[in-house]
Amino acid sequence: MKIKDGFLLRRFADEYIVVAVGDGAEEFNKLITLNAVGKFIYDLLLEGNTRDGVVDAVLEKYEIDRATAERDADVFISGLRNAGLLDE
Amino acid sequence: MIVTFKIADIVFSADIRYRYTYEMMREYESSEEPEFFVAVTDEDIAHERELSPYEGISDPSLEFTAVYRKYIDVIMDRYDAFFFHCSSIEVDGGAVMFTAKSGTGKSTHRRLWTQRYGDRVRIINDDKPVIRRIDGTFYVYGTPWKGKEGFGENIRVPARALCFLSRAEENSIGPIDTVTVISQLFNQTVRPTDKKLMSNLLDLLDGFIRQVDCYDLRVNMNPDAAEVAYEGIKKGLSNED
Repeated sequence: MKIKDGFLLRRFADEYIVVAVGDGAEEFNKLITLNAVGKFIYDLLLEGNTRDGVVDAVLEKYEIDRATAERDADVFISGLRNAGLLDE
Repeated sequence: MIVTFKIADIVFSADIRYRYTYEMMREYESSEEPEFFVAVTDEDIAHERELSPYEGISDPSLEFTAVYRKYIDVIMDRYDAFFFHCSSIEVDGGAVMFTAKSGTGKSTHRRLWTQRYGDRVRIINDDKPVIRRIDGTFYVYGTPWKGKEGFGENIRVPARALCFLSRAEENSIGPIDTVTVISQLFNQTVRPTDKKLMSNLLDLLDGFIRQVDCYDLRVNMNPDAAEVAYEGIKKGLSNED
């Protein structure tokens, strides 16, 4: 699982945003905003981590329980999937 | 014919074929040395026709818009500049911008300011101003592309306040969250597809919203709407950066 090419992640004021660039930009005509946890997971997916790899990294960084980490990772990943950002 | 214009302190020549385009732009004609050149082709005009939401627009009018698009493409690439779809006025030495979805009534609200404050208000541009960063300060520039009513002047004013306008029963003004600011700004500018240009644009927009005060402005169309808005933003208008 990996973020497709053609997306740009940028810090903007106190938020992170993702926009499409290149060939996909006309089709993907919107902007996604990420909070700090979302940005952390996005970076993990950029590196090609699996869902379980993401959960483990979130657990380690944020010291939350596994159920919460799994839920957060799944919600975020399915959001990216629905938006068409994932290569699977 | 080839004519040289100076818009947003950027001098360029354009090869235009219609008198209409020249008449619309002549206030910006310049005798300085052009920094670049744009030519509008038949393909560009056909492209504008496809993009236009209206049927039966004449070629001269399409050419005028095509010059705009070509000019914006170059200045986004070569200058710290971007296009921002808004109605903009000068009040107390600072630029106030009103942006909203089409049909919300930007120009109608702007008119309330001109009626209420008279000569204290100058219209910079009612539709398509250019924003430029010069030595770290963002300026709102008038352009020949002024919208349906054709109001605007060939001036530049430091950007101070940005109002995200919506309609409401009662007038109110207040703070606005960053996510709304980002997504609305993004919807009201020309988005490049090139990665470097997009990156530059995001840098500019980021600096821009740090300089200006952003407001959630909800208004009806009664005359006191302008007064409620002005009272809410006036403290930030004449601040030096």
